[in-house]
Amino acid sequence: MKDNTSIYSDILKSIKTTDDQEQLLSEIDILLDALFQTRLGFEKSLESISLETTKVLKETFLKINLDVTNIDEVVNFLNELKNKIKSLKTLKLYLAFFPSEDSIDKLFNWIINNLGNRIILSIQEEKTILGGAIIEFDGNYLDYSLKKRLEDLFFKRKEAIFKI
Amino acid sequence: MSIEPIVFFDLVISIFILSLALVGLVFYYGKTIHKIHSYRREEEHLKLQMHKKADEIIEEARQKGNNILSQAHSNYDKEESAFRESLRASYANQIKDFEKVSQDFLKTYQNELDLIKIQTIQVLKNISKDIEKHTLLEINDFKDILKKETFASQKIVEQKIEKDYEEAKKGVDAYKAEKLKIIDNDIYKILQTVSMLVLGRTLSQQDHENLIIDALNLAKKEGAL
Amino acid sequence: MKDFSFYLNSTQEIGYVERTTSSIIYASGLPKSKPGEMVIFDNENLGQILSLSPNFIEILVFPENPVKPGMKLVRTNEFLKIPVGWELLGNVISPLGISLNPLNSKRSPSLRRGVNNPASGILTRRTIKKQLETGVSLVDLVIPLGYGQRELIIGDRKTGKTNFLLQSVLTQAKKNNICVYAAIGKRKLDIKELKDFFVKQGVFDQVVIVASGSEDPTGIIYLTPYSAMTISEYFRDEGNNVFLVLDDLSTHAKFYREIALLGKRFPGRNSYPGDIFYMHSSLLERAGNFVTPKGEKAITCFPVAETIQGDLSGYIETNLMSMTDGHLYFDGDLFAKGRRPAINPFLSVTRVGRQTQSNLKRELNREVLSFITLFEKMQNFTHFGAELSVGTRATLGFGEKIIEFFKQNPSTTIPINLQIILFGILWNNILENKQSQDKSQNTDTEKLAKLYEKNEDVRKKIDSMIEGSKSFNELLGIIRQKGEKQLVNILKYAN
Repeated sequence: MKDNTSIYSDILKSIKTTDDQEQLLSEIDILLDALFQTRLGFEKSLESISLETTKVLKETFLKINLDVTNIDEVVNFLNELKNKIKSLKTLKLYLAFFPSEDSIDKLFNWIINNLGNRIILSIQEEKTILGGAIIEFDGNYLDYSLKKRLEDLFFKRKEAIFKI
Repeated sequence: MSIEPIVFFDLVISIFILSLALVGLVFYYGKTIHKIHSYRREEEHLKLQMHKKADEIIEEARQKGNNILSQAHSNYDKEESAFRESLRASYANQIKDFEKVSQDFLKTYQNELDLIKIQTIQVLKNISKDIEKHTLLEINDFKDILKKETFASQKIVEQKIEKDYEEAKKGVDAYKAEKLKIIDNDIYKILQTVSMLVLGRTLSQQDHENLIIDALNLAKKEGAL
Repeated sequence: MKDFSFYLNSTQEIGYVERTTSSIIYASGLPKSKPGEMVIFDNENLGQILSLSPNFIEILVFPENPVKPGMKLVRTNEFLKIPVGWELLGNVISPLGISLNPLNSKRSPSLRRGVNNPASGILTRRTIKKQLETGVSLVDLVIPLGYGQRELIIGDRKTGKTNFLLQSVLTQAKKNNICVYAAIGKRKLDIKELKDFFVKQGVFDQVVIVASGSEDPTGIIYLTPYSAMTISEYFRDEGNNVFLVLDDLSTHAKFYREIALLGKRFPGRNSYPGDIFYMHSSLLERAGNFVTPKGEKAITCFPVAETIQGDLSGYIETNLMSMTDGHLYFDGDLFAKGRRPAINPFLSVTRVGRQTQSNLKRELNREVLSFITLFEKMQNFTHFGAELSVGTRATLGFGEKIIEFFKQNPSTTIPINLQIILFGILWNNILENKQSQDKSQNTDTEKLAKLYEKNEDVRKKIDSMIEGSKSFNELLGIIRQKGEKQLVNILKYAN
């Protein structure tokens, strides 16, 4: 099992958000289709997907000494990879703005450091929260938005405000 | 079988005695019958005598009765005439007395009647006077009370109107206060949203990022992640 | 029930709808949910959690609007509660407590009561002692019922069950008892007719109709009898005797079967789920005679079951018969012969009704039952076509008269004392072999019933006659003494 996880971990590391997840899954599907339909060699099929993914896949194959000519082995590997990708848990964040790549990286690093590497982000823009984030994970819903904090603050200082 | 001589003698003797007894009986019987006959003859004789005597007594009684009856009749006639005479006399007296008494009664009755007439007329007069007085008094009382009542009821109506006015006023005031409250709330909300928007816009990218990381840390602390 | 965002903030858990079938949905999320808990969707629909599995929650929805996959839902940390209060009287409401009359001016009550309360224990229960008047002479005299009894009304469709129920509700409402009528999956037209009947008779402000139409969501139909029972329990605790009608539980069973099969429960006999018995018994056990802080009050329940071609041995029918304190069997044959109500006294049972009767009524009951048994047996002889003896013919004639006596119009209800007197007169006539006139039975009894209700003197006279007699024979004696003349006088007075 340890071997297994480490085989896929490189690829899985590259997935930070649900968008990445979806993209990778669709690419693997394209690859599988290509392999089956045209009976092309592996190298040729790789042309149909993005460069980055190709790079990562090739690296992995080298690591595990996968025989790229054995299409069955490749197919098994890819199906396994698909299952692993699908099993990644999602941490949903509602943010006031859509973050830059750097921000996403920062957040993802935080997650890896604090929660392990089986969790990916799903980011949704929700301007009304003004700041902070609403965090949804595993059915739990936590509202740490700025809006909420301000509302609470206002509520506490209601009397003072009225006097004004 | 030969009968013994003792036994034979006994039989003969007993037969002899029995025949003697029988003869005696017959003789006594004849005597008694003779007696009975004689008694019977006597009885008949006595009966005849009895009948004769009875007849004589009845005759006597009858004659006496007739005498008495004839005497009684004559007495009766005398007495009857005397009785009638006295009855007539007493009857005449009675009538006279009754006449007197009835006239007396009539007189006294008339007197009494007159008296009563006079009295009742007087009483009626008095009564009518009293009634007049009373009714006048009552009417006056009623007038006074009516005046008071109308006055009082006017007052009550006034009071009621005042009360209703007060209540309505209160209602209006409460309504005003509510409306003011709503306006205040609205103002407050506007303030809130404006300030929130302003705050939202003034934050920098870095601030935002920090906020997000803080949120994540909080969440982790609370054990939700 | 507050709104979606309130519960989202308070519970801080969220779920997403993953899969929907018509009345059951499967959702993910909501880690701390409990079975039976209420959930709210983001379009303010309600639902109840049926079961939990590692990845999904199975929810029974009560949707006003359709539920789509991807919708959000939150749990409320509450169990299903419906509003109960005096404002419900004179209203037609849905099982969730919402008034179905758009012109309803009354507010929704503020007090809420849980729908799935367990039944009271044995300490609060009491034996049934008082007789329940239904206003139908056949039931009150021959098959007596008591306050707190659960009596199953069973029969084919179109045999007059609903009519009988309406008569009973009318009688009970006139006695100032609260009546709750649960119309389960009925047509909207039928529900309207019910309401109109009560309004016309002037008793609607003593009645609550809990109604679910046949096109309502399955979850709502399933909930109807439980809501009705909850409302009855509220009124019982407020110090009133309640008369509850559940029309009908066979439809309820069918809808529950639909829910269970959709929820992949293992089908049992006739595809009903294994807990169908529990569903009904937990409901019916909540009715009975109880001691409350306000005295001894009862919830009398009349569940209705529909048979097919008179088959009393069906699954649901036998279940209900075993849960209830007796049943009234509405015979299709008797209905076809023209008898109304078409109750078959030989196939009907009352387990706790006879202990409520006074000596007089019990004797009357015995006389009547033995006579009609005899009459039924005699009727078999007529099939032979042979010459009948004078005695047999007489018995048959009298039997016919008694059957005529028990016939009653749908909207006529006769108070029980009046029934006893009329029956006494009829019995007297039979005993003295009088050939009484065949009066137009129904109109006369209707007039008498109205007179009895309105005129206090007449009522007092009749009541005193009955209370004064300790046995049926005594009553017959009194009737003989006073003679039918008095009755005729009363009739003239009525005219």
